[in-house]
Amino acid sequence: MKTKIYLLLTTGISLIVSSNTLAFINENHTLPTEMGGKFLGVETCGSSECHGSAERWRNATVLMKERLIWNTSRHASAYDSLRSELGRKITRNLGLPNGENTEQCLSCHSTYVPNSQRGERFSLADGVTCESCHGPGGNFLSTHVYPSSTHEKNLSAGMTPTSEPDYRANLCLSCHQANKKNQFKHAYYGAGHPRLRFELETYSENLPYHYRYDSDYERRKGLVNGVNSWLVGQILSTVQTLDYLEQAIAQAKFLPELASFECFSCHQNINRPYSRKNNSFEFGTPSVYSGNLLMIKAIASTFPNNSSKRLKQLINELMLPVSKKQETLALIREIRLLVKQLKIEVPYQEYRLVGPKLIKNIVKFSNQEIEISYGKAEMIAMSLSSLITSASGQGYLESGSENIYEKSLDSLYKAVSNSLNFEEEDFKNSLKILQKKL
Amino acid sequence: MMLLNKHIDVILKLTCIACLVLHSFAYSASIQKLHINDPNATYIGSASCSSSNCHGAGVVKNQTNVRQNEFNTWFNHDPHADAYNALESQHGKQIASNLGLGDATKAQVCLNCHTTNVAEERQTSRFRSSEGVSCEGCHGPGSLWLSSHSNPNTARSELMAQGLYDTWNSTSKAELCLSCHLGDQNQKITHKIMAAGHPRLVFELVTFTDAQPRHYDVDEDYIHRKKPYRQIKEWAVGQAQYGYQFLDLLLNTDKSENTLFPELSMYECHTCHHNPKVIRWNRLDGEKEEPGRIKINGSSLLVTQIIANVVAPEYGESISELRTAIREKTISNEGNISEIAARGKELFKTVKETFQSRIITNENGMAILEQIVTTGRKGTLRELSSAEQSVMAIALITKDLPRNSNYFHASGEITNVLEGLYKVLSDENAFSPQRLKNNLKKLKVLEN
Repeated sequence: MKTKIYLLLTTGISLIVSSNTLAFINENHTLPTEMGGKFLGVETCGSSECHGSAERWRNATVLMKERLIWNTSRHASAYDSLRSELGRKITRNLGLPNGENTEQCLSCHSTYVPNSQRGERFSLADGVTCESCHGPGGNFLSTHVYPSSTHEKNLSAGMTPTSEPDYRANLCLSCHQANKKNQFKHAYYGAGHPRLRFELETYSENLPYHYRYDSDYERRKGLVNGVNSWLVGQILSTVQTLDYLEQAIAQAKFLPELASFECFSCHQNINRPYSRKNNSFEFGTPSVYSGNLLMIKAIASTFPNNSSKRLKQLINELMLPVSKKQETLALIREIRLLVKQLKIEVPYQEYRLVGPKLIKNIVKFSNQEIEISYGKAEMIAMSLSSLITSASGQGYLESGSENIYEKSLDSLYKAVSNSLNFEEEDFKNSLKILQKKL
Repeated sequence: MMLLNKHIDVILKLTCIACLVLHSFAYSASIQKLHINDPNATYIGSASCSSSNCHGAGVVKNQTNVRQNEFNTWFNHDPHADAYNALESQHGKQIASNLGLGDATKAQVCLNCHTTNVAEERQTSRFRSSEGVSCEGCHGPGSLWLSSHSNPNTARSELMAQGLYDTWNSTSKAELCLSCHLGDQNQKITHKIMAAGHPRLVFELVTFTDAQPRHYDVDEDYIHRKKPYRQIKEWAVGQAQYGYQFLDLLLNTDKSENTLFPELSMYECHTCHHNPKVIRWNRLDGEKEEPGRIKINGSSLLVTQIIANVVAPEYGESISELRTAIREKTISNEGNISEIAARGKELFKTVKETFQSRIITNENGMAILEQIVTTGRKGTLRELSSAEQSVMAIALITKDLPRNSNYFHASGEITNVLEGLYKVLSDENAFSPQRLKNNLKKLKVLEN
């Protein structure tokens, strides 16, 4: 299961074109499964007359074969994975009868809504479906097919604004990241659940496209901008990570809930040779997951304000191993405050210019890391890939530089291709080479 | 015996050689327990012990009740003699540098266990710190009894009163070894030290005494003096003492309200240090265990419980309850770890004294062996430490029992079985309870 959502990929920004800031970001969108209305099921949306059509209709604004594309996506097999050998192993280890009857599994492996909201053709077994992301079809099914329907009308009827990065981020994160909405526990990992990881733009791009980005799309939903999508994803991801971490630490008894910590801080080869010049480093104490925090440092440098320096300094502190409850909580709270301020001070007009700047800063800060854990390396690779691809697609990378970037991305991805055999040195070298090229 | 030594080699080489090389017993135990408070005590160095007429003979002599070539055994074969050198090795320097200690050979925290660490004013001119953990690291300051001990008429009790450390007593010997091979309140071997690169600590009294190697013969005279000596018994006492000192270390590990993590050196290393992609945990039928939680290194508690079930059954249940209380603490934070540990210490003290007071028969040995094997076959020896302790126990028990015993049969040679078991332990990162289980099936106990 890669990404949860979003059928209408894009980074539509029509709503903010008029705004100078990202102040529109709303942390508390209503998610589809929290909405009222009937969930009609994949069969309803994906009939051969509608989104299950093999051919695009003459006047259709969308592809019409969305269901067929979705069928190939991992969301479509989310429920099946509960019945797989691994799924069985996980529930057995957790002492649960099976995943199909367990709310904590179903809430992310299906469109999990109350019985009363399930239409006749609805089936949990369909996995993460159209309505998991677009909202209960009962609210807009009849109206969205009218010739007079518009995107705005659909939205006001209850279709979710998945083309908006902040909405999409909240939606995806509700399953793809341990946070307050998805109280994913370390016990699930211990039972065998694959590690959660997420970067909005990468995962958006990797969902098979079930829409086409063309002039019509732009007219209806605005410009697509991967840089924006990445930024919003990082900021919301960080805020939510910090929320969950705060809760984990504040409620820590014998140990804090470990899901918000860097997996590879503990899960490392016990015989790994260790050398570090920084004597203030607390050896043997776990670190929090800091892939997002590293990106925030790059963002703060790209969009400097009065507190950027302070933010970076605090992040550096939180990225060190943490051993004191109160001090760590104070750090988390202040960082979160500054990150929230950061996002409302990013002028929209600069997005197209800042792609290359962000790339440079990410590489710069990553190179400053004494140690790059596998989790952090993954985030660096995904982020650089998203930003480079989207910058390149929009033609604001220097012409001819694409090949250089592509080679670097290849070697970064190669180094993180297998967590069993993460080549930290190779990864660091690739980053250094990339920095020289920039 | 030769073959056992070979297996010990496997364990030493593959799992904990560095631990032996870098670790040794000495300081606070030796200093405090070895009459440091006697203002007359001085440390005279191995040169004072190793004249060829005393303990420095080239070969074993039969003139006295000791071998007389003890110095050579120690100097040439015993990793204790290299303990100080380990501090000067590349690895030792790296660890000290990681910890910000500067020169490891100047850092008390290192010296405490890597040499006979005594204050300068207590060293005579022949004493050298660089000798590592030397004669007096275990036997006590020589100045107090050097002359009297060479008189064959001096009773050992008299020597001990003078300051010769009682290495004959399994408890005091275990206490001394464990002060470095586990750590104690005076010298905590923390997770921080481990994380800076220090090898993992492993210890079992009998196996490690054999591996040292012994510089004395377990002959009739020795067995008689030990009233009577039996390896299984020394092992049993060593396990209970290990448990006792482990519980002592557990005191106050969750004391501070502001501390996010307990002291992690008390926990089973590989519950965290494994690649997360490899799912190593499976719930067994009817088991209450929880996945994804950190586990205490409970090997000594488990093994002591097994021994008690046979030798001191009146305590089996209490030890089981103690283990449950510790587990509950790590799962649901129920109970106060210091209270649990303090209670456990009392229990283990009694259990150890009971082991010491009882005669362990061959039948007892077989019953213990059977319980260990059964536990492993159930798949409950999931953690490396428990597996290591179990394999060492199987090796030493089968060695200690009469070979023609009716009680013991193995499919194939016992030596092959042991070899297979040690092989399971040879790569700590690849340890598999399933493989252990399969290998244990080759061992047949109480088959008649």
